[in-house]
Amino acid sequence: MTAVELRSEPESRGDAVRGAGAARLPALALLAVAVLLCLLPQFGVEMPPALAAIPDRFILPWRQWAGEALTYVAKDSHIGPVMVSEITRGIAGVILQPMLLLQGLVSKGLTVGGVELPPLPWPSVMLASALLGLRFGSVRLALLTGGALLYAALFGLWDATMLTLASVLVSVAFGVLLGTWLGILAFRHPRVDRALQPLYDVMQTVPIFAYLVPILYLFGFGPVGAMMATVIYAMPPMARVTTLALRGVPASIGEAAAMAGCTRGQVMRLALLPSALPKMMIGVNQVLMLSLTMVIIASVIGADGLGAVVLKALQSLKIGRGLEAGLAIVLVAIALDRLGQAIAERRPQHRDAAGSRRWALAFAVALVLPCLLAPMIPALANWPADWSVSTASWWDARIAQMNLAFAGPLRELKTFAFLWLLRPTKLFFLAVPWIGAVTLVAALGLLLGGWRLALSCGLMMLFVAGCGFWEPAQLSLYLIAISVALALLIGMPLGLACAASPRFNAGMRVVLDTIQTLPSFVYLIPVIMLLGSGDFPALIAIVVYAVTPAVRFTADALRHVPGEIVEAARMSGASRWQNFGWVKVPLARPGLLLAVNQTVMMAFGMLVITALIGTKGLESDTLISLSKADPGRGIIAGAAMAFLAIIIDRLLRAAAGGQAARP
Amino acid sequence: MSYRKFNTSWMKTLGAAALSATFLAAPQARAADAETASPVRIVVTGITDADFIANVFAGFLEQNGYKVERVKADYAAQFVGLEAGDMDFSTSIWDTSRDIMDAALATGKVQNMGSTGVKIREGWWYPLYVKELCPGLPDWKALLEPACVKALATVESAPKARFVEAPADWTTNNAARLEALKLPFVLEGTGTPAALHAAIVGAVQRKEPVIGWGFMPDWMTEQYPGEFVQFPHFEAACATDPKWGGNPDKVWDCDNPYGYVWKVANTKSEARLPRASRMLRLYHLTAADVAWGIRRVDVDGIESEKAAEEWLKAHPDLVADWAL
Repeated sequence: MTAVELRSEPESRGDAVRGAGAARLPALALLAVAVLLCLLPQFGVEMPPALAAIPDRFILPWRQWAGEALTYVAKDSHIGPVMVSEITRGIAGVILQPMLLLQGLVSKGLTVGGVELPPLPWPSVMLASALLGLRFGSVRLALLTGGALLYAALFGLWDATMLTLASVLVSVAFGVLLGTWLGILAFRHPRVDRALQPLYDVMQTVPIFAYLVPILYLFGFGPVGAMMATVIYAMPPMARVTTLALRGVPASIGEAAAMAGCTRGQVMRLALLPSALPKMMIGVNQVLMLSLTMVIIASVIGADGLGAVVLKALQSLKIGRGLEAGLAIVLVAIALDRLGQAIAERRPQHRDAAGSRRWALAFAVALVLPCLLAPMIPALANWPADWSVSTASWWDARIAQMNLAFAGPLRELKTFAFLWLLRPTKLFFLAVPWIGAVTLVAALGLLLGGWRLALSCGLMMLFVAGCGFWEPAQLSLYLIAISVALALLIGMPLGLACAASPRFNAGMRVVLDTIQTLPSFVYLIPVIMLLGSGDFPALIAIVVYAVTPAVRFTADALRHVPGEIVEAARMSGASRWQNFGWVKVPLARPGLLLAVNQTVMMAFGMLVITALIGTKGLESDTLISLSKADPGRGIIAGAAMAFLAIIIDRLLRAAAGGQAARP
Repeated sequence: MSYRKFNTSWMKTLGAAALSATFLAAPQARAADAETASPVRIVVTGITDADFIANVFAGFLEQNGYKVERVKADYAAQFVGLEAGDMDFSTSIWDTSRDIMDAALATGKVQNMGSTGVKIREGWWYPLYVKELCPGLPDWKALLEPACVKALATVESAPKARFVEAPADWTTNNAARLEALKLPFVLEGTGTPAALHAAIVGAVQRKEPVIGWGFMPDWMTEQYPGEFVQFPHFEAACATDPKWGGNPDKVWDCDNPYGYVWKVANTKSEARLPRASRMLRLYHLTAADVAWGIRRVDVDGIESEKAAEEWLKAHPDLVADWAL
């Protein structure tokens, strides 16, 4: 999920802690009762069945209601005489145009005034992107942007890469614009902000399968439907970051602009947004990265491109080919990210007009010259097949070798993990009675935030327990709990190292970007070949993915500890370890809790993938609902997942201080 | 798509125009003209056998002057697209995914265009060497022997044996079958065909004992020597009447039914594409044709569209029948 700074307003923190102080004793007592209730089954105490799992006759027909509501919205809803789906499809038709234009330009060719034009030849695109790198960055950046495309051509992935590039660019542009707009709206109206926050949580935690059917109905099958699904998942960080960045702009800047006679819109456009831009770039980065993690899912609903290549290769276990295409996704992601950063960081320079004219000329030549030559030299129009290379068979042979050589030792590791970690935790979670879970959540809410938090979290947990998916919910939670613990155990020390050494940090950044954008199926399928499917590969998938925010946010939290305090502690005789344990960690506590929070969110986001390798929790219900034509099942299971994530998020935020005042 | 393709497709249009000018008198050609103006959208799912079936038909339409758009879609998600009219035809609907197919047909927006003629066989599949560990196979009773159960057990499934189950959204009836036939097995979930294949093929490459859900036509059962377990033959009563079969208290004490791969279409597409719809109804292959296609793609490593082209070229007489 989002790896975004959600650092909260510090001013509300003191009140929250004081407010919680009064209720401390009853809250602690309630907590003790809750823990006892949860642990009773472990000591062999039989709970009354009605307290262990809510009896069926008390379970409301949520599933049916949700299914009917969903079918209505997707297929029958009207505004006046006009079908809602006609309106949304009209919108989709508008959004499709820039997408078609870009796709036509780089990949499919365009028809202008009845004349069919071929797409830009590969040297045009490659040279232009290298020049962009050179213009805004350095020779290194030019090598990266040009090199990423050279890789695509070399491995016979040119067309797929161009299609992915086109759809990702449009998705990112759409996501950034929408996110900025919503962010501004939330900045101006705190009430809107409060309404949007839980919506964002839902957008980022509910697996796409739960709402795929309405998306496909409303926006059609193909690039626009895929883009909508991508934007739903990738946009929230942008909106959140925009609001936070605008709040961080000193009030004097806005006031100065207003006094100079700017209208409200001008103040935003000319003063506030430019000042907030550097901070907003992390939002752009996240939209980009998350859009690229969605290319596999997007390929499932009609978006052609690299995702489709990966998926098709893995369907018949051509792992080498899947890896080649997966690496192309990673390279495109890193190149776009670094280019975007270079553009945003560039200070306006007063170069002479002749200089920028030279650049414009260079771009024009790079774009046009290959177009003119292409009809005469076919190798320029199409990358010749015999220039392509493939390492696929080499990789396949390595995987087969590994399968023979490492399956034994790896299986011992798996056996150990299963017997001592997975099975006991699973049994523990499955034994927790619903009454214990609800009480525990409410007690923690009371302790950390107050009665409002207790009530809202308790009610959400009650829904999870009473919606008819209690056992799948426990299975999802068990997997999340183990993976988050492991991800933090691995990620936090790495984050520590990143904070300490800039060089380690630079290397780690490439690793993390790769992890975030390489489709996880590329490494999961070999793991399944070696170890079989089920919970163990699922655990690996979640841990690998959720380590990213653990590292990033830990490093970030430690880096922002004020240097003078650390220095003062050192001068007053604190040893290195004392300084770390007694000064740095307490000061970084809110940031570290944020790391935990984001790791949990990311883990929830990954459940959508584990459903595809055979886990049986809520995520599996959202997947099954699709093929059983039972949309209610998917929606309710998805809602239960979102509630679980929101409960954990709110409790952790309250623990970090700050958000506790929030309802 | 690229420059070269643009050239050829352009020439094709020119050629088609010239042809239709020559046969202006023929009403059929004119009808086809109106039809071929907009592209025919056909589902491809990225699964080798399904894509081969789709590409043979797509290639055939292209030979007949149609423009074809191959829409990439997930197997389950395609039904939404077919209902909404985002796709015209799908050529690979398995009998065993009845729930979603029936739901789509019930909306009245999707219609059944008949069988492809490709027979489906699916069930409990094992590589041949498993026979040595479980003497008596392919008869299902061999799976009850303790030695066989032990050989097929894993750390998660012990003391029972492990069965690599199909994705949870496929209708395998295995949970009921385990109960009805008292098979000491645990079903290990996979979530996608890719994971199912990976779990079985990984073990086969190591020559380890394994048993799981297999199906034909499919590249795995094509590429690795193996067999299906023989359960009591399916009869309709077995699925509904507990009294039927060896276990008087349970249903599904039998095999899954055999079936066909079906073709479906969006209901409105027939009005727009009457001739292409007729061709779709007449279109049929055999399981052997599909097996050939799978070998060409997954063993020889050529593109599915190319393999389909080859097949069309090699069977002009069969192909001509679909255009009658």
